[in-house]
Amino acid sequence: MVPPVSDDLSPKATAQQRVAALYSAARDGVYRYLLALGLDAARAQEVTQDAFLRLYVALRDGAAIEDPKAWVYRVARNACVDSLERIGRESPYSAAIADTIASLAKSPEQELIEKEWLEGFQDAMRSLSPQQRACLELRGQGLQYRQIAEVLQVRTSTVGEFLRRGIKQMKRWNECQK
Amino acid sequence: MPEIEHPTEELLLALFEEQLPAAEVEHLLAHLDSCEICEQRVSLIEPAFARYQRCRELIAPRLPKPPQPWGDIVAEMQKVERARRTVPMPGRKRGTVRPAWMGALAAAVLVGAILFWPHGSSELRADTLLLKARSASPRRSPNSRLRVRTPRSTFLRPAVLSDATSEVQEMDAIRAQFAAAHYDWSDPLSAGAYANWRAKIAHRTVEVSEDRGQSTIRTVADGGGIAEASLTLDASDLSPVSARFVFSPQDWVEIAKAPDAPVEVRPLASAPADAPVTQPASSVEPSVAERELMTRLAIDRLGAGAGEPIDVDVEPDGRIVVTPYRLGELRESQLRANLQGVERVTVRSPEASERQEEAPASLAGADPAIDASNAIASRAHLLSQLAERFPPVTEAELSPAARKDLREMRVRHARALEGDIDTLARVLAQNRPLRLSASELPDGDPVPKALLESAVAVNRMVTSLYAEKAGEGSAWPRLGEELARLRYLAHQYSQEVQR
Repeated sequence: MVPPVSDDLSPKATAQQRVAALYSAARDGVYRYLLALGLDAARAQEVTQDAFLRLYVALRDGAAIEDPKAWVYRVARNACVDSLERIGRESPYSAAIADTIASLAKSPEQELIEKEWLEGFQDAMRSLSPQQRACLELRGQGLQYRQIAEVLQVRTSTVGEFLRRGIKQMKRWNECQK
Repeated sequence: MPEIEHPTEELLLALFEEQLPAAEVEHLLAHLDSCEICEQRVSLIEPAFARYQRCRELIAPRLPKPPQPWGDIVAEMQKVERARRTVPMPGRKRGTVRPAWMGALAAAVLVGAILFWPHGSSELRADTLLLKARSASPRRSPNSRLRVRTPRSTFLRPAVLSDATSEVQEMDAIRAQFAAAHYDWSDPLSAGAYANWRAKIAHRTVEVSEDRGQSTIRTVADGGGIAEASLTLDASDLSPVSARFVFSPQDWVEIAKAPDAPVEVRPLASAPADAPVTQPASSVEPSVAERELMTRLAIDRLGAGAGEPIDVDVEPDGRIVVTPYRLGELRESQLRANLQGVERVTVRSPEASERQEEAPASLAGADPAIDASNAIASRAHLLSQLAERFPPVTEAELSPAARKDLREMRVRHARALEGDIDTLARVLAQNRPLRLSASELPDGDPVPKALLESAVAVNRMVTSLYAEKAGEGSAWPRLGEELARLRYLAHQYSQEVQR
């Protein structure tokens, strides 16, 4: 919920308005990003909410955060790094891909093509490194390359390299199926 | 207005087809970030992006929905504001009110906020509580004691065991049980021991409950010696109050704080009447080498010692400075918590320019083979550092407990190094048959320095083969030979440290 516009220009009120607006606009994306990294739904939701509260505390304390959206993604990613080390290949995200493929099994021609793509997508998701997966997902969500670099704390050229390798993997799987 | 120069189609295509120089990639991506026209051109030139997007759309309806309605962020932020004025700092008793503007309160406030946040249970709450409990844990007096209760007996023991501590006989069996379960029996009623044990449990469920001013974290483990462990903290200062460990329905151990043992006063004949109480031998300040080892162990507990760039510098005056170059905020606070209790150690925040320092167009994570060879190089580097910092003469001066810790750390990483090498060999063999045979094996004593040299050589070859595609034909057999040499050295070293 975005708070009503108020005349209160105190740091507290300004920070609350900024965070509330970003929370409405970006929380689903952060949640989906964490699912794509392999978290389960409950933990992804907890981490998402926590990241926005951390943003509020940081802004409230006067931190100069140039890009709050990238900051939230980065904090969310860092918060779950320990969990991610324990997570195997199977996650709700990979289960969703498998379910979608199963649902397209007996479908018209267009859907058969998409089923092939999805099978390639499924295989690629298994073989991509976590960074490649993160780059593709963040790009898919519309983050700019420099924002992705900020989230992953790498250089923009490294993002380009991750994407290049990710795309290459995806194409390889699709070509294998032909 | 100057006309914008758009990149050619060939260049855009090359961006996703070839490895361009890092500076050129930076320039192109910066242009794409600001030019919608070129962004659309990319989606036409490289259909894999559009295909990827379509796949994302297709699976979207089947992704799990958030299990709870989203919390009201405005209400939560207001709670944070209220908590800023009322949440006590760890280590202080409830009721101590600090001015709301103190920045240092932020962390404590956040803990409060996480506890209040609706549905914010389980892992995050447990991790946060343990993190704060570790950083708040006071140094215990040597006279602190614990009451240990089992189905068969009840006895008292010191809160922290040292090698010199004579244990009661009943503790032998319990100590063995805890050792088998990888739980630190030397300091069992501590957030650190509990957190370290939790970190080793691959499959677990957790509950956090609050009752009468106490917070209890209950972890049920799927596998391992301890089936269930609960740690209860005093909510006012996050100090551990009691713990319960269930090995089986009939076999459990309960531990609780007991009154301190009477202080042993040994006044010197010539000492003035108001001379301080003589400290027991166990509180002698650890040597610099011992503190350095404790620091390295704390970093190692973070799981970052072999992978993350963290410098440990010992200053001439004995101060130890730890510089983490690329840790996230949470991990950095974990590091600080792990270092609590190590005297005269400071964590230095690197300058922004240092923080971003990394190899040009770093390929870390870009390929499983590069990842594996990076892991090998990092681990070999760590083993080499341990050898350099703790040569036999220094090691001999360490306390028995510290020597044991050092040995365990070496063994752990030596074994892991062997595993990393096998992983790399497997990954490489997936791409192309690889003959692991060295024409000449070193016949001297294996030393970490030789290991490091070999690991770095392998890393260089793998990076070159995968990233630069240079000299692929002749480089492959050389890689097989160097990897065989590395495997031999690692095995020899692992045998040596386990002796």
